[in-house]
Parts: sequence; C-alpha cells; structure tokens
Amino acid sequence: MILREVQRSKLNTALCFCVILLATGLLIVMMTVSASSVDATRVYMKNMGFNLLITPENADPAQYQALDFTNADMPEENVDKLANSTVLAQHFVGKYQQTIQINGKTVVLTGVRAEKTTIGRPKKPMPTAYEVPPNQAYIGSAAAKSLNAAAGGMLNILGRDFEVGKILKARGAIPEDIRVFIQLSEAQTLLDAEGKINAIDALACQCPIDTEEIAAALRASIDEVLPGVQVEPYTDILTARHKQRDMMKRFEMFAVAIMLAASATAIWGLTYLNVRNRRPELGVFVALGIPGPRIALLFVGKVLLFSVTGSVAGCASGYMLAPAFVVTKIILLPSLSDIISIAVAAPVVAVIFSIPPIVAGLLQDPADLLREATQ
Amino acid sequence: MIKFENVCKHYRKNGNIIPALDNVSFEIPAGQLALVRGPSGSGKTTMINLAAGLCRQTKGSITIGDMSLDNLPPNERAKRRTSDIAVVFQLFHLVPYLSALENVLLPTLAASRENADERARMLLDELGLSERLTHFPDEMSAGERQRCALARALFNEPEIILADEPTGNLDPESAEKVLRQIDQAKQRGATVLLVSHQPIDHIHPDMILEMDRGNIIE
Repeated sequence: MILREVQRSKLNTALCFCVILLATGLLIVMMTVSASSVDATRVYMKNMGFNLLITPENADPAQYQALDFTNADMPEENVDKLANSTVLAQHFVGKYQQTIQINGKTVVLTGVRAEKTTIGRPKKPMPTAYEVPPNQAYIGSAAAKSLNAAAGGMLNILGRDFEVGKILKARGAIPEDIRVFIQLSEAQTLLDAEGKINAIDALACQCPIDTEEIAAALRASIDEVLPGVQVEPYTDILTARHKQRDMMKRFEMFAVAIMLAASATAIWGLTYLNVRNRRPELGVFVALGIPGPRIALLFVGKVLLFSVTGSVAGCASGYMLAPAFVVTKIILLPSLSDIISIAVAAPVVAVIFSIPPIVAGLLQDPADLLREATQ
Repeated sequence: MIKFENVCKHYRKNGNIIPALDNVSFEIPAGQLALVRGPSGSGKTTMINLAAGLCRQTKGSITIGDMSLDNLPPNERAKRRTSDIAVVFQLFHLVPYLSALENVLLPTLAASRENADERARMLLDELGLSERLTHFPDEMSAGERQRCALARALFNEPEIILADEPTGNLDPESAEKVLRQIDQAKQRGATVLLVSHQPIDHIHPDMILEMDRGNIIE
C-alpha cells in the first residue's frame, strides 16, 4: 500500500525525497567546508611562527631587543623539562644566540636544537624550526645578501668553515633575516657556552580561555616547571591566532547549527504537510475501523521510505560533492560515524515530526476528517 | 436495532454553538429499513456519523444492535465498524491510489477474513464491476465508484448499514443498482438507515423519518 501511494503521489514523494537529500547533503557539505576552513586557519596561524619567547631569569628584554644576548643563559635541559611537562604550550626550540661579526657584517649567530614537542603528542615541526645538519649553516635572507652567500658555498664563522646549506626566505622581521643558524652544539662550542641556551621559542597552545588571560595563564603554567624564567608572548601573533581560531570555531558551530536547524525545519515542514494533506484518507481508514497503530504504520512507512532513501542519497552525494566546495588545500570530510549519524538522524527526525499530525488525526473525530475531504 | 434517545449534537463554530441534532429519538427495529429525508443541513449526515460512532453526541443515548455506543472508547467503536456496522458515504471516500478490488479489500487491514479476495471479486461482480477490478477511482464513473464503496461496505456482511445519500451523485441506472443491493442486504436481515433528500424508487422503507433543522418532524 505504501508503494501504491508513492506511485500515485510521485511529485509529492519526489519533493519529500529531495528535501531530505538536500538537507543531509548540504549538512555534510557545510560540515566539510567548516572543518576544512578551521583546519586551514589552524595551519595558517601556526605558519605565523612561534608566539612565545622564554628567556633566562636575568635576561634584560630591552637588551634582547637590541640584539645583545650576553650575560644571560639557562641550562639546555630546560627544553626537555618543558617538553615533559603539561604546560600550556608545545613545540619547543632551544637556542643559543649571539650577535657577531662575519666579514665585517653584523649577524645573529643562532645555534638551534631540533624541535621538541610535548611528550606523547607527536606533531609536525613548526615551519620556522630549523633542523640544521652538522657543519652547515642556514642563512637569513638579509644576512645572505649582505654576506654575498649562496647555497652550496662556504662561510667562515668565528674561524670555522661551514657549508651554506640553505638561504632562508625573507621573513621581513628583525632579527630573523640576519640570523645565521647552525647546530646548537656547534654554536655552544664556538661561543664557549656548552650546555647553555639563552632562549626557548615555543608555541602557546589554543587555550580555552579569554585572550586577555592567556599571557598570565601561560606564565603561571611555565613558572611551575621553570621557576623564574621570563615568558614574553609575541602578543600580536598570539592574539591573532587565538582570535582567528576562536572565530572559526564559532563560525563552524554557527554554520553547522544553522544548517542543522534548517534541515530539521525543512524535514519537519515537509513531513508535517505530507501527513496533514492525507488527513481525509486517514479519516477513511478510521471510518473503516482500521486500528490506529496500523494506520500510523502506513503513514510512517511512507515517511521512512523517502527519508531513509533521501538521507542515504544525500549523505552519499554530500560526501562526493563536498570537496568541490572546499577552497582550502586540505579537505576534512566528516568521519564515517558522523555520516552514519546523519543518515540515521534524518529519518528519525522525519518520523518523529510526522507522528504529531498522525496522532492528532487519529484522535480527532473521523467525521471531522471526512468533512475535510468535502471542503 | 438502531436506537436514538434524546440525542443532541452541537458543533462549535467561531464561539457559537450550532445545534445539528436537537433531542432526536427514534428506534429502528432489527432487520428494518428506515428512510431519513430532509433538506440540506437538517442533520441527516450527523445522524449517520453518530450511529457509526464517527463522532460523539453532545447529549442523549445511542444503541446500535445490543450495545450502547455512549461509553465506548474510540478503538471499540472502530472495532464495531469493522465487524457489524458499515457506512456508505455520499462522496464514496475511496482511497485514490488503490484499485477497485483493493478498496473493497481494505477492511481486511482491520480483520483478516478467509477467501477475502474471492468475496471482494464476487461483490464487485454482483455490482457490475467485474471489468473494473484493477481500475483506480479516478478511472471510474461516479456510479461505479459508489458501487465500489458499497461493495466495500458490504464486505464484512454488516448487521447495520448506514448509507448517507448513496445515490446523491448517481444517474438513475447506477442509483437503481445501488439501492437494489441495499435492499438485498436488508432482505438478508441487515438493519438499514438510509439518508436521502431525493425520492427513492426501487426500495420500500419500513419507516420514514422526516427531518428539519435537527429535529424529526414526523
């Protein structure tokens, strides 16, 4: 009987099917676009570089800004202590830096250790964390221009020759473009500072707290592990990262919530109207003495039929078409469990929404329902 | 037996109370046919709906067969319409997406019956619709649709037949076929309440109830 009714009301059934298909398909597209955008934002923000500078207790920030890094250092193992802790940061790069002269030009010799990430949470290294091979130097763009250095050439640093492994892209920031990166241990030897570092670059995590409170929270959290060290956030980067990611998260929630609400409303409206329009038929069944549950099954059966097929088709087409709507490089499609949840939820919602008009019809006097057919 | 005792039925519309039946009493003994006549709006359809248990009276008492409908819950009234009360509507109320045969078989959704298909075919054949078994309502004439609706009503061999203007939309030939079937049901022992505002030939009522403005006037 359900199939017979479907055959007779092809347009109505097709419309119901399409609404469910569109609702579920668009929901999956929206989830994909949102998740991909959020992830792309995360990557872009991460690519802005470290947002936290940890310096020794006795470091003078003003002197640091003036590229004078002397007279302040801390043990190299501080990096490991941070990596082994639960501070509100990750991606740690310990470095020993000193402003020196090479061929009469001022550069910042920077010995860097391979990046450490929080223990147990392997992560892709930061794009500005350099793992310099032994006996090589990576040279900032301004320094390279000044020193007339090119990749593959040799550079004498404080009496030792290093091969120029890479000329770094211009960052447009001081002193980044005048840095000469070598391995930390080599820098420590050259600068007579074995086992010492004078700065740790870190990436503050995406803390679930207000931007204003992030710096204080970071300081407090790091102070627990390394009492006395100075924690200076690169405020603009930190705030931009936090606000941007927060905004994208909100956008994702909002977009998905709106889409969910729109889908649910569309399904509600259509299933309600579908049943509402069949009230006279419902009246005939009641007038013939057909039991209410049996009648309800006939009506719910049709709703189930178009909602299950619609949601399966919608999920499948949404999954296939979603990449076409994503403008970011990485496409994050919803997980299989999310898709199954949507495919199941749509028919459940449709059935739930169809029940009130069915029950209302069954509770009404059949005479009234039949009268509707004559009006 | 169909018995109405001081039955009132009031409808509410825009805050006003509209009396459709006003203190109506009558009794149709078992096996008899009563013809109810009267102008439109006199309460004839309301009387049928009340007797079928399709709505509840505002006041009074209704007994159908040996059972009072007064306190029967909706599902029990529905059961009675499955077993021993049949209603024939002026507007047929066939299910549009079912064929003539399937429409006649609809009561089997409420209670299965042996040789249901055979009986449905026989009824349709008796009513001259053997060529229309697979036709849908919109492929049949008004007379054919009414005969199909009548076949559906007679499917469970009801003791009570309530027919609301069954010939109202029919040509004389179709009307005659329908009335003859109702008369045959009466001959088999059914009690019939037949509503019509037209003159009825081919049938001889045992009693006539003239209605006007919700009252029986004679």
